This record gives sequence, structure tokens and C-alpha cells, in this order.
Amino acid sequence: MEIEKARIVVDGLKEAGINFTVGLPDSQFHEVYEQILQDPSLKYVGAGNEAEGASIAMGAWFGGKKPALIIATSGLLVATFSLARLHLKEVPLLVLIPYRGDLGDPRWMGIYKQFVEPMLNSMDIPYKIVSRKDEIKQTIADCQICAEAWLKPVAVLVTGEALW
Amino acid sequence: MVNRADLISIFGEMVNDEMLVVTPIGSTTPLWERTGRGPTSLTSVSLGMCTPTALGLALALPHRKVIALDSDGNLILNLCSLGTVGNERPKNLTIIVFDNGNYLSGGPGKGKPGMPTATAGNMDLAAVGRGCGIEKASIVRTEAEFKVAAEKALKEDGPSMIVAKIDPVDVRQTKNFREDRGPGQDTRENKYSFARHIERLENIKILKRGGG
Amino acid sequence: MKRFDCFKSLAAMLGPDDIVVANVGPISREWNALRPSEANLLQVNLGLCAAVGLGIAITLPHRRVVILDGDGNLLLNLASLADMANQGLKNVLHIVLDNETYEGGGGLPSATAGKADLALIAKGAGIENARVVTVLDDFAQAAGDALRSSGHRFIVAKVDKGTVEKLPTLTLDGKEGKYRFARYIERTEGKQILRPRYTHI
Repeated sequence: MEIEKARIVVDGLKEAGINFTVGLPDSQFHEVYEQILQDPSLKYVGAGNEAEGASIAMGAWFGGKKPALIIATSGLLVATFSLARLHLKEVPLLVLIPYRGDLGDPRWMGIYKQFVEPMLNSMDIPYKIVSRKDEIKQTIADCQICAEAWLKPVAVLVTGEALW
Repeated sequence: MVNRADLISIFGEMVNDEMLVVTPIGSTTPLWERTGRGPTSLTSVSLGMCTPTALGLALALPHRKVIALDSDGNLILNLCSLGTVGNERPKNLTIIVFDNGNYLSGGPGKGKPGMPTATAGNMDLAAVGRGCGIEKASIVRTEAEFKVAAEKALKEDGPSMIVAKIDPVDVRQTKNFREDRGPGQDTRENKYSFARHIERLENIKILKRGGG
Repeated sequence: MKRFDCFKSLAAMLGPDDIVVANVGPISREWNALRPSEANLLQVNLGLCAAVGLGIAITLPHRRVVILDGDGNLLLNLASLADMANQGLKNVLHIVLDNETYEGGGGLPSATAGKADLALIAKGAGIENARVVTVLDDFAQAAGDALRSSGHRFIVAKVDKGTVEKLPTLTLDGKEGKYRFARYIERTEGKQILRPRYTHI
């Protein structure tokens, strides 16, 4: 991933008002995590699994923060249960995912595409897929506004096409 | 052995309005609601989410004491959260684990315990806590020990962890079972009352938009 | 006549126990700024304001219920006037803040900007005590009369378009409003409305 593109993602989070991040790393987003770690205004907490991460984010929201959960595509499955509970409690949360399995990825990753979108739909978590670099910032901002207005988790899936 | 209800009422006396308490689903929430602090606490937090949610709160509000009233089955589900606590080292976080050694909520009811948790065997949650970097982690087995440990935890810098070994089954008469749950809030009402409580304490805005 | 001034005058006349049901939007925001109270059921959705007020008035006949309606809101569910009239209510003051506009929807005129006369419609529905006021003194007098007597009164207050500047945001959404109002009625009426929690849901 180009450092310039990682910068766009991080700036997008900051411009959307995010000031607390929780996550587990994904190789495709490595540069994003590195920059977030160096930026105290995005206070990064590394969780042990994605369900724990969603819970930490919920606690931070109650403490007045604007949290984002930054996890791998596969991690979304682990986070499912906690995200469902956030949904029930109507707590807003931006979920940022480097999306594996879409255009630009190796063929074997296609399996992710088979479950991720149907799962988000069945969990009633709205999402936007970003496949153009120029749309990253705006999509993050839009989805954060929607999360706050709709009081639920909203996901941004950034594909390999946008990142590589 | 001691019972959870007694420990919770002892702890209810120690907590003041400036502190924030997070409780998980299961017996702890209705017992905690009896102290009258239900609406100003975050209650019925789902499986595995109690300690991590309290951690998020503690990190967002570092000047305010946050207490997770967790339980063994709950904590084991997201055991990694102890590692995260040990690494973040929030001074203002205390984790109290009511360890009854069984999955009571998933059990047969009628005063009988459920399937054993790992703490009924060889697992020592306080030792796990220490291994994760939560040095102030201890096991208590009596009311007196609990009182001393809780007072210490509320006074001193954390993170701290108290594992209270309790009866396998909660003392509760069938007659007042429903009343126990009576005034309890559902999860959405509790969201609003807890967020409003923090807004008042911190003079910040959490709930922003008032749609239809 | 400004809606906010009508509300100021009304707020000064109401007692703490008077229940107020208010239409979603600026009506709820203005009213909440002037009379913040758990006895307010705010942000009631389009078309439902009068009907919800009716339900409360029937269930709690010993409590006064004030309905703060909008013209567009009431036009959406005109039948509620007829339904209210047939109940022979003794405890309702129904005020329509009529700005002749769908203000929330972008400012197009409503039917009251043309030929529709809501007070006449109310009379036709069977609400005898229905009138239109266009100046603040008349509004205060009509509302005062209504609050001093029992019955079912209907006042159409012709108000200017627009709201006041620097109105504080209403952060209470419809759901929180529900819980707050239900707990208030539970407390003041000694009855249980929200069911005991059976599960953690």
C-alpha cells in the first residue's frame, strides 16, 4: 500500500471527527495502522479479537469519544456478536475494513466476498464499498454521519482497487 | 463461600455517584439494580463485553473511576481483554469478577448450577490477570476479604482486579424472582439513562440528534 | 403572531402536572426550550399527534392533556378530529399552530393557506368549542379560558412562518422520549407501563 493512500485514509478518519480507534491489524492496511499509532489524536487501542474491539469502542462512545473499529475482512466475522449487540443498544460505530475478495485481489480471496456483504445485509449494517482513491475520504465522512444519525454500526469497505 | 447478592450490596455501599459501573447480563445486573444504581450504570452488557466496554470507558474518561462487575464465564469468552487492559494500564479501572465456576445462566435453573467453567478446574483468573500485566490482582473468598480488597481498589491507582469466589448458585427465592427484574431497564432505556448520567457528570454532549 | 410567543404565554399558564403532546420538529424544539418537563411527550410523528393525545386523554381522564399540533400534521389525519369529538372529552386543549406551510418539507403552502379552515372543520366534526386566533392577546385569552374550564377546546393559532434563532438543539429522540414519558406516568399514576425486563433485550 502506498504511504500516500494510507495518509488519505487517516486524514479521512480525522476529518470525519474520529478521535478513538480500536482494531486488529490487517496486512493490507499496515501503513494505516502505523500512522494511526503515531497520532495521539486517534488514540489507538490494540484488541485481542474483534469482538473485544467493538466492545471497547462502545465504552469509548459512552465516554464521549467518536470511535472507529478498524479490522480485517475476516475479523468482521469475529466481531459479529458484539456488533449485533451494539446494534441492539443503538450505539453508533464506524467500522473500517480493507476489503479482501473484490477486484484487485487474488482469486482465492473471493470467498470473503461470498460472505461479507450478505452478512452485513442480514445484520442490517449499512455499508459502502470504495474502489476509487478519490472517494475514500468522502465515504468515510458520509458513513460516520450516517452512523451518528442512524445510531448503528456503519461499515466502509475499501477494496484493493482503491488501495494498491 | 459467599454469595454474589451480599457482595454486591456491600459494594453498592462503597460506590459513589462519581464512579461508573458496568455490569454483564446474568444475575449480576438485577442484583446491582437493587442498589438503585441501575440507571446510572451500564447494565446487561452482553457476553464477553463487560470488561472491554469498561476499558473503553476508562480510556475515554481517564479522570473517572470505572468498575467492571464481570463474571467468570463472561470474562473467559474474551480473555484477551485482560491482555489489552494490562497493556493500556488505565489507572482508573477496576475489574471485579464474580467467579461461581459455572455457566449459571446457561444452566437448568431451579437452584442448580450449569456446566462448569474453566475456573472450576485449574484456571486461576487472578494469576491470568497478573500474567497479563495487571499486578494488583487477587482472589478473595470471604466478605471481609472482599471488603478490604474493594476498598483498596477504589482508593489506589489501578488497573486492579478482584476475583471473588462465590457460591455456584445465587440465593434467590422464586417468589421475588420477577420482582428482582421488575424495575429493570431494557438495554435501550439504559443506554439513554447512562449516557445522560455521563453528560451531567462530565458536562459533555453524547446524545446529539433528536429525531422522531 | 409568533409561535414562540404563543408558547411563552401558554407555558406560563400550565401547571407541572399538565401533559403536553407535541408534534415532531420545531414545535417540539420550541416547546422544550420553554417548558422542559417529563410531562411532555415530544417528537410525535406526522399525523399522529392528535390521535396520541386522544389516547392519553381517554386513559387518564383526570389529567389535562394539551396537544400542540401543526397544520400539515393535522391535515394528514383529519379523521382524528371526528374521533376525538365522539369521545366527549373533558380534559383536552388542542392547539394547532397554523403557519399555513409545510415548513419542515421545504416551505410549500399547506391547504390552510388556501381555503381550508381547520376551526370550521373541527366544528363540522363535532367539536363545538373551536375558534381561530390571530393575535397574541386573543390566543392568551382563549388558552386561559380553556385551561380554567373542563371540556374539549380547539384553538387554531395563525402564526408566522419560521422559528426563533439560536434555539437549543433538542437531543431527545423519539425513543428516549418514550421511556422518559412512560416512566413519568408510571411515577405519577402509580401504574406499570413498561413491562418487567424478562431478558436483557
